[in-house]
Amino acid sequence: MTEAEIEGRIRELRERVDDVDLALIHTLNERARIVQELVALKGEAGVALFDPKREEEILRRAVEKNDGPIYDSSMRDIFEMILHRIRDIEIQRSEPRQ
Amino acid sequence: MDLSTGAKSNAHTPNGMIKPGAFRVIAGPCTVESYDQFFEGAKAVKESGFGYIRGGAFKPRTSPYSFQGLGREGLEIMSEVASRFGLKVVTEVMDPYDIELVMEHAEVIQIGARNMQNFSLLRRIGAAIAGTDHGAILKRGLAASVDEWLLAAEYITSEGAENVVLCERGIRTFETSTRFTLDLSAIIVAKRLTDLPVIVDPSHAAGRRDLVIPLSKASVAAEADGLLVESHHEPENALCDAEQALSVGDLKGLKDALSPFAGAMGREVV
Repeated sequence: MTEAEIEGRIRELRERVDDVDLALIHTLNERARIVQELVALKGEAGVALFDPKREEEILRRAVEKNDGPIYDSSMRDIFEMILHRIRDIEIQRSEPRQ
Repeated sequence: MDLSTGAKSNAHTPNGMIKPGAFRVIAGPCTVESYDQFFEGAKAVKESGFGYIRGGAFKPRTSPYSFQGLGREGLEIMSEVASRFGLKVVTEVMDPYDIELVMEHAEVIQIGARNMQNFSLLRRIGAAIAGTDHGAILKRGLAASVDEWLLAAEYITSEGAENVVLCERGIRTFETSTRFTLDLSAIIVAKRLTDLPVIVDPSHAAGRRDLVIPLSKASVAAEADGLLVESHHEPENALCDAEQALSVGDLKGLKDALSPFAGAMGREVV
């Protein structure tokens, strides 16, 4: 490949990465909106937000559905981060339960 | 002025240790040193208007050569003296073999910061107190995240224990002017996430007597449900943690010092 061809290819791959990132951003916010509803519903029902069983279920599923090339352990780390960041943001938005 | 809007003040334990709208103070010496010493300590707690006394019979000391506590004799002194004053006893268990013995002498078992992730101890305590009026206070580890602390509590509650209370006691940071750094945000975050009550140990967090009352006031404002505080009738002669124990005078003034803050949060100091 010539230098110009390589540059063109790199640009193309980067554009595809940007598209995936954009989809990820939309998807994560969609997830956050659902969690928001869940937090509000739990608040109304007086149910505790901390639910380590459900959390483990989500993390296990993320690993089960993972067919690479991301390592299972890395997928778990990524999901743990998503879970906790979204949970914490949604808690800040909500009123504490009484 | 009511500042309680938005604060969660309905946390409680079925055994009445933590009640909605109340701020529970548990005070007493770091360790039981003798009958007379504990008697004076209990008298001060009672006269200060509090119903729960703390005291150590088994002490987790950093050095094996430091005073280790009076063991069984200490427990007997505690239960005898406490019953004379109508006080309830809170004391630490370190060894699963001692759980039964401790439950004969104390209403509440404390799990120390260094044992927060001793999962077999947590499970055994959970199973032992399940279905009883006995409670457990789980101190936060010196380097534990809030999630790790809540998961540790889950080990106790998943055995069926109901009277479980979390206790923030300061975490290790780079700051050296205090012994640990009291993490006020952890109280609020833990209360947002669970239904478990959260109390605060300002004595171990600060390691300095002069900070205990200001940090107690801050704890009330940070939505805590109570305090675990060290007091001694002769702080300068205490066998352990002498520099952080409140004097009898300070302890007697504690209720008055906290009441305006508790009132603003919609709580009564008990």
